[in-house]
Amino acid sequence: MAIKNFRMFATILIMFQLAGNKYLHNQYMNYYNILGISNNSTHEQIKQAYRNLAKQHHPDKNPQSAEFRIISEAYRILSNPDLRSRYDQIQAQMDRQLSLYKMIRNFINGKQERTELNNDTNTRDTEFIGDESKNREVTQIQKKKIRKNYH
Amino acid sequence: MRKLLLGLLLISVSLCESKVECPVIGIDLGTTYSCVGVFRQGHVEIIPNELGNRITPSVVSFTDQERLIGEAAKNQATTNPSRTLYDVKRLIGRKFSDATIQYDKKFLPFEIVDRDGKPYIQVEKGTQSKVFAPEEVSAMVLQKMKEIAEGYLGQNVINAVVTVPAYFNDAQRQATKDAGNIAGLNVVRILNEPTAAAIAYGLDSKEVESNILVFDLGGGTFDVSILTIDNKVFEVISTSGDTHLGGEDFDQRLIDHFMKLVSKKHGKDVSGDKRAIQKLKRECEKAKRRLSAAQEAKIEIEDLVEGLDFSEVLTRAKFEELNSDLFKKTIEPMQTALNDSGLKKSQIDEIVLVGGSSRIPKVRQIVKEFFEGKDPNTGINPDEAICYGAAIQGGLICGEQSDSTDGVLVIDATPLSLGIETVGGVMNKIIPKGSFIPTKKSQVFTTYVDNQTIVTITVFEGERPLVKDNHKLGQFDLTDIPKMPKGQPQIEVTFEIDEDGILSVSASEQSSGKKNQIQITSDNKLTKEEIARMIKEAEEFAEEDKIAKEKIDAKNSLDSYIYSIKNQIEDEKKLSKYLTEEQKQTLKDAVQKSEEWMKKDEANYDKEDYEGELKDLQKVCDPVVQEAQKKKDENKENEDDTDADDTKTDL
Repeated sequence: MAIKNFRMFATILIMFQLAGNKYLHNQYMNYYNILGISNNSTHEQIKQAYRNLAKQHHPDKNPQSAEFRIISEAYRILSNPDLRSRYDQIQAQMDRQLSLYKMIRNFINGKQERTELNNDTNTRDTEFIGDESKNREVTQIQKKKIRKNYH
Repeated sequence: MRKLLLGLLLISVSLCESKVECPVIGIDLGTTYSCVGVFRQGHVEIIPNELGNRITPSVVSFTDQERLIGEAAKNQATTNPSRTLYDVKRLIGRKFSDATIQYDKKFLPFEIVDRDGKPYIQVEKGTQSKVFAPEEVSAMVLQKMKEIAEGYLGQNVINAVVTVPAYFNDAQRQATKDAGNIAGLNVVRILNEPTAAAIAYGLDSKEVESNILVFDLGGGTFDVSILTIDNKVFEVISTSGDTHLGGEDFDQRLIDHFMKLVSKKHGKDVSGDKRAIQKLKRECEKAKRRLSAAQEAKIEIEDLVEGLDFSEVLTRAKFEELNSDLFKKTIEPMQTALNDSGLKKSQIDEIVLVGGSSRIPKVRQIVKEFFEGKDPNTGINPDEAICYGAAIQGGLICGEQSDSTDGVLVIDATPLSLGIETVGGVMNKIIPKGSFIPTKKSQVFTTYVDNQTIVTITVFEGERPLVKDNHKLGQFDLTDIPKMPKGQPQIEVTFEIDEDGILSVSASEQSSGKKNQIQITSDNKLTKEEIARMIKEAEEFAEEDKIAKEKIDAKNSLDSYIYSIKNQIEDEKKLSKYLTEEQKQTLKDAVQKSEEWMKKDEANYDKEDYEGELKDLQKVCDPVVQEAQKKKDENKENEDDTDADDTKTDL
């Protein structure tokens, strides 16, 4: 029971920390959304979507756009079947976290309009820093993902 | 007020559009040869040098009087071996202690010295010795290519795309970019050579998706890249190579072979004679080229050493035997690139051969065997393909409109993984190889001792799991971390790779809310001050070259004036008939005086001296010559008249 309570408390803590992470605020963090495709797209569709977006956002075509990096990262993950299935798992987890977070936020009735401090659009391998159990797991999975990629 | 706002708006718009101005030339800066091209009006023009050749040797040479670059420098390599600099691309961006530098040092005839761990080149110029960074020497070659382009285009050229081997590391890329800056160029892009070749090959490709492998074996480096081309989008999937394998190594094997032969057959040692080695090198290079078409080549060198006239026949079989292990070294990178790409051999639709050494029949055979009998494509010019692609990329960057390049997009990738050292000397990769560039990634690390206030971040590149096996790029300290138990600080390390494939690293401690950002500077990199000094020196050199050229021009015009006067005196068809003996004597005396003046103190004359002498001479000669010319013209009219009369009588 105590353990269960503690976990609950930990989860709430995580949620507060996640609140600082702007990537969870918007759905753009979803790699499928980034590429503008659905979760059940074929490899061919992913490739086409990526190339079309690259034509718009590559610095050669559009020097002001910084989105190419995110698009590339999304493509790197989704174009590899192995990484994609891992990503899908994490994505499902994150969706659950997100809905929970929203619930808490509404409950606290706090600052719904958070000002975004950082407009940087870099991609990060470890989005979920600073907590213990669960996030370490996620980080590990993500690290594994990278390793897997260049065998 | 509204006007002001509009004005501000316009200014901000123009600031945003920091577009590169056309023309952007493409330069293939090769180990042995360089090539320059430009994309104009829908097609690429490869620009010939002053001798009409489309490739220019990457050679710089110093004599007591002047500096020579290109053909002129290469031509006198045999007479001035220790001051003729070549293969500088093999030194650029490396450390003096690198194994390849120590190896190359044995064969290069000029002196390589250690300057703060970097290989510099020492040259005796007149009585003093001068030391050059490899970047400076490469800058001289780039400057030459720039001049060639400027002469052809008839305008100043500032922007350029410069190519590097895909397998060049961060330091080598940075150094090449620095070389461009020293040469007075704005390097708008560092482009990978196989990628450039792929652009040249795939520009008019079909709409269907195809995988191509570019096999680029040049003068000094070897690259393999696998790309996907789909509807004019070029995507680099994987890259591998060897930055120290190429035609120069094959030449060296031949030189070694012939040196042994000379000592065995004639009992003469060539190894210490730099001139003899350069003669041998020149002939070996020629023979190697001939062997790509012929089965055997004859090497003949007059007075190789101690009056020995050397003559030998080299067969293709012998050439292949001497280099067989080097040729085989191309197989491993091909396999690596293929493994990294995740493609099967059969999925490679086309193999594109580029680089001069890809002409060697044995190399082609190895490639063909590797791909189970698939014939490589030899449709593009192996010497010019890279330059061609660089010129197209230049055109794309500055927005040169054309049907053929409309919609072309090149997405390049990193050749090596980049990461930092973590506990136990383990390499923690942050950007894996094959990542599309530009890219930016962060990872969070923490301390592993309590109250640690300083962390050293050491950046490495390479694929091995332990950093000791990888190449160190540089390191920096992040200080003033608040005292915390181990594992608490959050140190975010960010790696960013730009379009040129050049890395910048920053780190910040985040948990305390205090950001402490440091930018990495690579160990080997030139500092801003050094570059500024080198730019100044390069400008001085250019000025010296200009003065030397003007002096030579002035001397030549005096020379040719003297010659023409002499000609007028002696040639019956010219003015000889119309000059009195007295006049002839005046001219002869004046000319002789000038000739003696020229011989007297040649080293100390400058342009003004020659021009002054010419003026003096003209003052004496011109009136005499004009008078005689007048006489001749009058006479000619009379002759014409008589001619006319003659025709009349004939009628």
